[in-house]
Amino acid sequence: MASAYDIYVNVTGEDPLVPDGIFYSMKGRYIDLLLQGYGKDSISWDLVPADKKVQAAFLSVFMTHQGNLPRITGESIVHVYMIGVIYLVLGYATIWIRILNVCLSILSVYMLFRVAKTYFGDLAANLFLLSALFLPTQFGYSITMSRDFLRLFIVSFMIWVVYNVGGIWLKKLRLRLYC
Amino acid sequence: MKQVFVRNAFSCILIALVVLFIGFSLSSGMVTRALEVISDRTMAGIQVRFLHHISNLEVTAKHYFLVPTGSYLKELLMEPIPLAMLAQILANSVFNILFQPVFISPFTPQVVLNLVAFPFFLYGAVRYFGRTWFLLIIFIMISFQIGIYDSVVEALIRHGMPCELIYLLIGAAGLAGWITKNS
Repeated sequence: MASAYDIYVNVTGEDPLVPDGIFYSMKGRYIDLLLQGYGKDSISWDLVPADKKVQAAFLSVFMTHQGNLPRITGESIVHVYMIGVIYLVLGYATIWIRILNVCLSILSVYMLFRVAKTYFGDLAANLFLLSALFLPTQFGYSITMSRDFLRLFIVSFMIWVVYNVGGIWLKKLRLRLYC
Repeated sequence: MKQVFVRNAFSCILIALVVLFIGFSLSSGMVTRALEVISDRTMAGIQVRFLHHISNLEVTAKHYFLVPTGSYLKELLMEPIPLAMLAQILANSVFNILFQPVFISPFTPQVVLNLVAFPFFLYGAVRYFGRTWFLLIIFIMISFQIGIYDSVVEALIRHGMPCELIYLLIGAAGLAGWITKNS
């Protein structure tokens, strides 16, 4: 699904599920180029795809930051830094981010599944897994460049740490997280 | 003998014609043009159908019991905030996360699931309150934050994913508890 959607976006130049995806991708590409050692004067158009929308997005990013790395001011900047580092390590291809989002989605569901299994039993955990993995939002948006899966992962990770890591420590101290 | 000769000759001529046709269509660019037309029409068709189902989600929420962008913030900055307004804002934010979109879209099955899970969510939250209190705090906090800021349906359902998973977790716990209690 991720590959098919990636082909669709690259062929048509449209990202109907998350229109901001192209902008995130170009911001990531900009960070990737700076981390590779390119400067304000050495970045050229042949480093960016030939699509007009993509080039417009890249130009907008370039004009905003003028060859400097963006300051980390919030979740969206953390997300584009993550994209930049992935492009730096694996090469510039939007499919990596889609695969990352799919992995973050599955990991988030898995962590909550572990919490459900520990605290509410196998039946509840299996029911949760069955419904959560095939939710249209999880299934549909995980193939996009959306930054929501980073947030979802952080929230799920925090819950897993509190319940499954913190809970076990509390148990060792003969305390209980729950009644 | 004559029949075999005629059949062989016919086959050879047929093969030659097919080869000539393939050669002509490839060298003249006929196939390339045909493929281009077919792929353009296919992609355009896919795009139209795709956008038809997605564009509904881009509506601002004034038609769907959300308030227009920014309005909540203006209300929140008022001194003092009317209690009725505050209650409406907070209730809207939680219910919009769970039950939007209220119109038919690709996410309708999810809304139906959320509606079905609602009594079990309440049952799970009450029965296992000792274990779910932390989940409930996270659920309500994120719901308020997202519900207050997002007034476009598409952004709302995308940003609400953490809340939805917590909701389903508690709902599944409630359903499992109800099944085991009755068996």
